Amino acid sequence: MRKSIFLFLLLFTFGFGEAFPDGTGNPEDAILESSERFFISLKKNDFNTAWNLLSLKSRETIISDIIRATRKAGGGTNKDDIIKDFENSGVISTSYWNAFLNTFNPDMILEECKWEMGVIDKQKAEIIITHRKASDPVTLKVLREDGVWRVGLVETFWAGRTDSFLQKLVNLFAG
Amino acid sequence: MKKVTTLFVVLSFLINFGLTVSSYAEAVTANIASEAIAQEIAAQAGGTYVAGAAAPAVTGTQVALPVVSQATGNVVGYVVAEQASLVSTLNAAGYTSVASSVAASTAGTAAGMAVGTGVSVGTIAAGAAVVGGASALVVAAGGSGGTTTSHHH
Repeated sequence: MRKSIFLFLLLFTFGFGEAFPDGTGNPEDAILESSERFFISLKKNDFNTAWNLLSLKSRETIISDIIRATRKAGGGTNKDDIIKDFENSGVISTSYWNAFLNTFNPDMILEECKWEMGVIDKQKAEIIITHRKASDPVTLKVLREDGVWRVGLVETFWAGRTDSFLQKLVNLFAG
Repeated sequence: MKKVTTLFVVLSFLINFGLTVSSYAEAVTANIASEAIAQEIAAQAGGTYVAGAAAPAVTGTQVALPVVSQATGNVVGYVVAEQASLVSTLNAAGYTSVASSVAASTAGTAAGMAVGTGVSVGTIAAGAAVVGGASALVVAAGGSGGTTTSHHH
């Protein structure tokens, strides 16, 4: 009997741990905290933290967008230099995020939206975000990479709207 | 919708070998020796130089690049030109960080709009000006070559 209870507790512990590998026992908190922290970091101009809370795909796409805009404007640039710049909150990163914040106020999502947890699995989650004036929500994609929940900014806002729409915006501003 | 693009990328010029400007904290600046160089950059970019502190009106895909006196920290003028021409001119003149930052501002503006649009489900306030890039470029004093640093306060 004692052996059975012991085995049961052992299985329960490891089984539970496997479902919530980050050890928190409640992945919702970790997902929401990371996502909120991303937007708060932007609001505080802590671009380094914000960058590190972005998914890999988001970071790669942002760098590609900048390379494309630079080349379209007749400039030359090196991808590795841009990566280093963003990792160190350099001049290019600062310009990018300042411009981003000039057209998007993080309070729009932090203060003016209702956040509800959507689907969660081991590597992906969704947060349903509804702006107070919107009839439909946006589904924020959050991904677990290297043990950390990261915001899929590109996965959420670039995809679905078709790459051509964003490309049109980039082209519009690139002239 | 009227497209108004204003880019706050700062060219600070050295007058009295003064210290770093505090008005454009966290900005990327390119140092130039005199206001005449800003005028030359404007001409080479096919644009104009507008003297004075008041931000000029821009149209289409033009950008207004502030020129700041390093001694006083005040804006003394603006280089107004089409963004693509300005990036190309700045690159050719060796102000590559400034040029890359201008391009980064372009991408950042588009991204910010995409996120804002997504959150508001495609609703964009009527008459909203499209503002491109609020980054001030602060480049450390270093002569006409245009060395760059960023200043943080």
